[in-house]
Amino acid sequence: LRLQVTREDYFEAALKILAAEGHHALKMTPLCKALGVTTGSFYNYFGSWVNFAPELLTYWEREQTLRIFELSTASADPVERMATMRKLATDLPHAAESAIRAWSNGDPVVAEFQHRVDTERFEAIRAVISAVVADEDRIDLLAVMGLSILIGMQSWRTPVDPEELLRVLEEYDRAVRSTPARPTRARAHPRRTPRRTSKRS
Amino acid sequence: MRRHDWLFQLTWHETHFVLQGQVMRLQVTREDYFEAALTILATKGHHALKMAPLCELLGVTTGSFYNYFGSWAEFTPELLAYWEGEQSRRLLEASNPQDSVGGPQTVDKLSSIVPHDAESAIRAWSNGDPVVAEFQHRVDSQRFAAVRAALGELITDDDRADILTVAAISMLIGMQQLGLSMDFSVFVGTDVGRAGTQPDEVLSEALAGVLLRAARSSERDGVAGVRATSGGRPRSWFTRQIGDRTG
Repeated sequence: LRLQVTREDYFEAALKILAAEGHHALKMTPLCKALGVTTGSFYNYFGSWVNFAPELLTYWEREQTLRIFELSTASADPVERMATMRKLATDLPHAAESAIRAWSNGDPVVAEFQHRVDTERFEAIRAVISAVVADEDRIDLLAVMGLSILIGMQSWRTPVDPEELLRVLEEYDRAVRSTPARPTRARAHPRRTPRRTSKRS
Repeated sequence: MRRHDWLFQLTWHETHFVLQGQVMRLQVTREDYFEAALTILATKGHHALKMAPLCELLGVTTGSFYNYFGSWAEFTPELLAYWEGEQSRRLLEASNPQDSVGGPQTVDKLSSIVPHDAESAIRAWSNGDPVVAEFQHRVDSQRFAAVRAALGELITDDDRADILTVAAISMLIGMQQLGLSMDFSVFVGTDVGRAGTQPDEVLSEALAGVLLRAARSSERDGVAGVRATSGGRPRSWFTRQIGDRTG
């Protein structure tokens, strides 16, 4: 039995269990066993098993989403930012994330975290793309596509081959950069309003 | 229920009976069970797929269920086989070479034939259930092959066609997981495959086409595809799109 484990050790061990065996396998006994600690140590840190899941998901959200947002917006060069984003997306813990997504289907607490992480990643991708593409509507669409590609790869290409993901993201990157620029002022043009109104009436 | 219009030619008492105050149906088919199960998957997820709610939804007794399937354990593989069979059949129809226009159109058709909500649940179910995972894998592989064959007509570089197929299928599945319904018909109206287009521009063209068409169709009828509402902040737009999913 180990004497020194940190909260982070628990989270990382839990992510490993999720990745290897799915969310059904994430239980207190196997977790403590994986760490070589007593359940007493677990209770000391987290009080109860019910408290653990939200803390684990908070850790995951902070490590894999908020950190990515910071890193990907660090550079001033838009092309470099896209490359950083690609690299960070490739390095995500894909297997654990696909288990979390499956877990979220049927667990409202997990679903809320999943929803927040998706939204934050959407925002992060959007922020990077907006430096390259001028038109707001297209930025949204491209950001959804980028996020979908990542989620899709995690869902059906498990275990994710980082090299394949990188190549797919390079295609995506090419598509983003080749998106024809439309002047932003066209958005504010009043032409679109009457059309909508006429359709509704 | 459209398929069963003939039922209405029978009188109510010929197709129903009342058991302990509950209305029960006499005539259900195996297919009715499968379709009802897919409805439960789509609306409540795979945890909710159990015998009692299934029979209740159909208005039949569990006796009727046992008569058809013997046990619950026998039901799930049959359900998944039904789903796989339906998907193969529709995929075959969609990739009919007679009217093949190319990869993007195949993705578009694929998108329109897939029961997205039920699939999202089946995919979650497959994470942790090897039997379900096997069915899921087979369905994905069939789709990969269909899109790959169509893209192969446009792109000569095999390696690249593979990657673009992975990108296209991933996008479809990702949208499904997000609970967004994306109108892939936006792919169809592009100039993809026109004379002079370099093969390696195809995806870019297709994606650019997505944007163009989505922008146009959203202006036209205000609903089709993924769209940004005019003047709406992106955060609220995204949250609204997937908000229904998670409350």
